[in-house]
Amino acid sequence: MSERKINVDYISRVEGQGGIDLYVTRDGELRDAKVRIFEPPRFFEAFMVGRKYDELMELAARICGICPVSHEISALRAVEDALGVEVSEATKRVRKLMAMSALISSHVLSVYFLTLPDYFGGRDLIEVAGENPGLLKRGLELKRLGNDLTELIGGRSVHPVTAVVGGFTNSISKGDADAMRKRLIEAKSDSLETVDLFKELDIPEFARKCEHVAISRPDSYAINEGQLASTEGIYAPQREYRRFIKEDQVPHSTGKHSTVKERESFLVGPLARVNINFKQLSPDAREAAKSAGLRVPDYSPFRSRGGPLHQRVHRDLGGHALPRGARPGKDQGRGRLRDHRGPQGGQLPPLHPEQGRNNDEGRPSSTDLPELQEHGDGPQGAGPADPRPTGRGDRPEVPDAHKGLRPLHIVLCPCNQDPRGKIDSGVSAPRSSQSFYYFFSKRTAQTLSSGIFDDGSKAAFVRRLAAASEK
Amino acid sequence: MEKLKCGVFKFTGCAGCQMEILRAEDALPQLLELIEITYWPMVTTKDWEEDLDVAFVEGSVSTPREIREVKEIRERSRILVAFGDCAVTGCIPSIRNFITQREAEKAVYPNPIWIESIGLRGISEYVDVDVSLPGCPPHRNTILEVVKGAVLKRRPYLRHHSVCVECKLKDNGCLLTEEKRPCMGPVTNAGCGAICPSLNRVCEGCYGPMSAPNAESMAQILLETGLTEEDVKRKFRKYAGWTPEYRKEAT
Repeated sequence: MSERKINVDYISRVEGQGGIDLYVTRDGELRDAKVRIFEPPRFFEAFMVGRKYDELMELAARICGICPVSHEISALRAVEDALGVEVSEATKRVRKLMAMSALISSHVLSVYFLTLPDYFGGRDLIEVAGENPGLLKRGLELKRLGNDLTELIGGRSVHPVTAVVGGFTNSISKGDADAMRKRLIEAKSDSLETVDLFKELDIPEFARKCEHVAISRPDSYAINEGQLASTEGIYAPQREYRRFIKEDQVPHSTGKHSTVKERESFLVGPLARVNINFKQLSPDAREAAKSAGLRVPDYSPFRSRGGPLHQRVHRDLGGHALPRGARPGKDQGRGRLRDHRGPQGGQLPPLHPEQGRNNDEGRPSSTDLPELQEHGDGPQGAGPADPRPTGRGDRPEVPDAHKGLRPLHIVLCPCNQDPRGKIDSGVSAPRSSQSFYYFFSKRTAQTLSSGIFDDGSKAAFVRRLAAASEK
Repeated sequence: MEKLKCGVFKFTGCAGCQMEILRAEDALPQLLELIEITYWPMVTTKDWEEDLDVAFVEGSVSTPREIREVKEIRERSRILVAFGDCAVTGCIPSIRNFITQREAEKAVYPNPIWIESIGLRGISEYVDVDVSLPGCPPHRNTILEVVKGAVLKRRPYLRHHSVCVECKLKDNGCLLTEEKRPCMGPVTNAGCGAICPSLNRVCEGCYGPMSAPNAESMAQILLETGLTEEDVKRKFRKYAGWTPEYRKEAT
């Protein structure tokens, strides 16, 4: 009754369309805050059903024009997971590099173009650049660096095209890779200057403690692959995220609200990643973060900076992601189907014995988590092995790709050509029945089936497999 | 010379086209000497007040609110650019036009009753469009060409022929005739610089139909590469299935 409503119709300098309603009492106490996302729904969940396995990444990329790489790689990994395709180490590295390139451009966009104008009191970076011409230049340079790297790998920066199921359609030349590496190393000073810039800014002191969620792995800073982890103790395989996270619809927003089950809303993004994976950052990045005042775990949304990630890329480029002379895409298409070999005689292979997984044993209690406040433990890799269970368990007989798939559906595809002889990588193909077996979870089967199981696409898939197995 | 007043609007889309404007990094400072960004909510905090010389509309129309908005933009702009596939053809989200609104809403939302959404259309469904800039996303050079045209008061030079022309200019081998792979290049509008075929991937058609494509013949050729009728339908029902050019093959 005595409330006032403060209303922002359309929030500018964010991606997406939304507004905010704040309900404040006469005394100035905040009663309620509602973020109204009025971004019109596009129904990806609906129209992607029934599409073919090799176009899902292309469709998923279009979810967002700023982070298409994340959606693309996630979709690829989901399809590969469902089909049991294992990609080569080089493919994983190039995908990681691609994801990092997207992080660079996305964070630079966020920091320079969307956030900085507020601190300088301008309406946009162009206005701010009137007095600080260096800012626009540096912002554009850094953003271009990330975009160029995405483009080098993916063919273009918005909705890249070369990443396909099993690998990449092309490879980067050594000359291009070396030139890019040089540029990345040179750009390190720009990244550090960006961190310095934020030291000088008047950043509001504000912290709101909530659960932070990111992927994590003991051996490196998790990009693309890792366990689902949170500051409140979640630690589980990525594909089990539905065990922990639920989506609800609210009347005032077309964007659904995600919460951790039986807990509250949570934060994802750069701050959550850094909070959870601080130990895995490169020493340079940790140094930069500490110098900027980041005290892990940091719950200030104003410190959600991507800066430390830039140095990650340098380290990885120098260290292992793009080894000299490597032709990362060279083994494109050499995705190997996991061992689904059916027994001779055309009988269906046995279901693996781990039908009742999905228990909690792989999940540590919050006390098992590494002490997040401690972050001066020397260079990465020098510490003792991480005691956390990897979640993979001691069940070597179960292919990773099948964990959590339940119930398991076995789908028989009568196939006109005998692929054996062409494919030597563990695809089941009993000669007598000239058949292919694919394993899917029920859901995957529903999603993919109309694409996979008609004759033409099956033939195309066989050709693809054949091509994949040719060295 | 007075600067051109430009606005960028986002409708139902992914903002990738706007990102492609920012991708013209080198040209941006020079560009800003020729144009003034009067409205662009993703980049600047300014209300839309002045009428525009050039309005870039990214995204499709899929809510009643957007119908009103696109009409207002038409009314208040001299040159209206359908900016990117979503605005031109509906792009990938137009796949959902082939299922009912009810099914789509139920698949996503537990309470569809709160959702206000209508069939997804390119903006030319509702208003006259001066320039159609296809692509998912349109190449930055084509964006600059549109601005250049507006500054010089001439029609922008945009390609209306197929991707094949650009592919030949790049001296690529033909994926369709030589390798019998299902390439959509022959019916797809050029402008990308034949990115995919140059990188050993078939054209998926992300620039939508070229001027007067022979979709029926293309469908036949795709069948000859080993695709099924369902596959062919999916190929056409991807970036531009709702256009008159592709509708027959996509249905």
